[in-house]
Amino acid sequence: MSSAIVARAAFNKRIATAFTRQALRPLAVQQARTASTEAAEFKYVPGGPIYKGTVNDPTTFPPPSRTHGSYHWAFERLLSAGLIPLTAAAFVTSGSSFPILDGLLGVSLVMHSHIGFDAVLVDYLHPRKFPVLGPLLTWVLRATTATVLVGVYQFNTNDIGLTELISKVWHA
Amino acid sequence: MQSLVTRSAASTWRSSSVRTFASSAARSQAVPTEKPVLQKEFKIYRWNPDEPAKKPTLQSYTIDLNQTGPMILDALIKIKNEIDPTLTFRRSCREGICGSCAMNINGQNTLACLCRIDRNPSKDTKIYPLPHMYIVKDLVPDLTNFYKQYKSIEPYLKNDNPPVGREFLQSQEDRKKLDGMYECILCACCSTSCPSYWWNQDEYLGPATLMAAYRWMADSRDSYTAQRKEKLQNEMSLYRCHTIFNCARTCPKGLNPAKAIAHIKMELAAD
Amino acid sequence: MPVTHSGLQKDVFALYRRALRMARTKPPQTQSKFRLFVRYNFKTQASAMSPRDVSAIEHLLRKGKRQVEMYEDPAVRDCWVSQAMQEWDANDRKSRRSLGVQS
Repeated sequence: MSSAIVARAAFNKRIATAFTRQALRPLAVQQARTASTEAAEFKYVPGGPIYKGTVNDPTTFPPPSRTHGSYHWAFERLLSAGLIPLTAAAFVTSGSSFPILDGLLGVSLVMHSHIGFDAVLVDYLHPRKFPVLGPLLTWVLRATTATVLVGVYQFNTNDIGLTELISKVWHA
Repeated sequence: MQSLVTRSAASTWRSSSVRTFASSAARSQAVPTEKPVLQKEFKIYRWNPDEPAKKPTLQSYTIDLNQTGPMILDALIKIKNEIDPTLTFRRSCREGICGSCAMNINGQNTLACLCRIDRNPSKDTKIYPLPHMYIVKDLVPDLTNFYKQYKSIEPYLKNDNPPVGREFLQSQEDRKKLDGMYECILCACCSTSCPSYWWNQDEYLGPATLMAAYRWMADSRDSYTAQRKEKLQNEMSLYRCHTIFNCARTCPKGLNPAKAIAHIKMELAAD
Repeated sequence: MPVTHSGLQKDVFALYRRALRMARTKPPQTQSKFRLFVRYNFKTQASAMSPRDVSAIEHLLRKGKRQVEMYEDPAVRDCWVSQAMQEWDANDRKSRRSLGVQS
């Protein structure tokens, strides 16, 4: 919206000229143009000054989807709760003796932060408001998460693993 | 005062057995004590829709608190009556049951009629309309979207098989489930205090509407619970709640919308 | 050269168009009154407004939409035209005639 503000400097004059032009045109042409190119309703801007429908119409709901709804929420909560015993387990065991546990901790942490960042994007950069930036950043996040997952796998199979790394850094 | 005088007179009479009017003659008429002047400054958000190009400003009013009622709403009414009749705000019941006078007072969304004036004259009181709403004028926010959302959850009893020819009975335990929810007066204090609602108010329903939704889900007489739940199964309507608890903290009626939302989430997850 | 309009401008045009269409649904003898009412309100407010003042224009849009919604009710069959509106209309016609001569 802001990009076009500058283009509207001669707003009043343009209104006047546009409507005189409209008035001079033959009626049939005018009607055809209205019908073909312009919708009768306003352009709805999400969160903007124009709401959908009349004052008395209820707002609408997005299509129901459990993967985005309760499953997502339950998964997020179980994951968060699961991180607590996982972290505790990582403290008492050593990463090299329980590589599965160490890998599980790494993957859970990555998933946990993925969900967190995804919530940030949905909150502040939702595609309905940011049609370009929103999807772009969602895919950037997905790519980052995938890369980090590959990194976790590499690190845990070829190197010392997450728990060992932290204990080494801690004692260094 | 009158009775005090008579009582003291009566005691003298009993002791001396002589009735005198000396005490009442000495104090003729009681002079009402003049209250000291307590000037307090109120800074109130002003914006006039007739001059939409002008930016909103804070206008300052100073009134004598000892000539005013105890609540913010009393101060507002006094200012409107005596200083500036153009000051605009909604009010109706003046006792916290209509929800009209919801506004942001000293940074907290609350009802002006339930909010006491801070009697410290050195500090000013700032009054703004509910945050993040379109303003109609001064302290009057545009609640159209809020009401449209409330309408969308169908806030009425839906049952295809109502009992014929008798009342709709409910056990005491079932009725208890509605306590703490049915009292909501839809003042929009909670919704407008919620950051999630600020950023996504076109899609996220907000605490007030969600609590109303749960009020009908929890009602034992309603038979559309499954459909009501199904509507909320999406990313935006319910799950933009991040348990910030501003709603529970600000509610002028002492309700807890966050708890109702947590119940909805639990029930949806258990489905 | 095609003129590009911002989303806000398109909204304003859409509202103006809708308001004029509303005037067309009214009884024939009052249509001109409605049209004058719509044109007066749009043009006086547009000329009083800086085109850069987005929030103010949005406010007027919101207000205007609600007003049009109300006037669209078929029960509304007449509207009042003030002296100021008629004077404005006369001036507007005069200036438009002179514009037409020039172009």
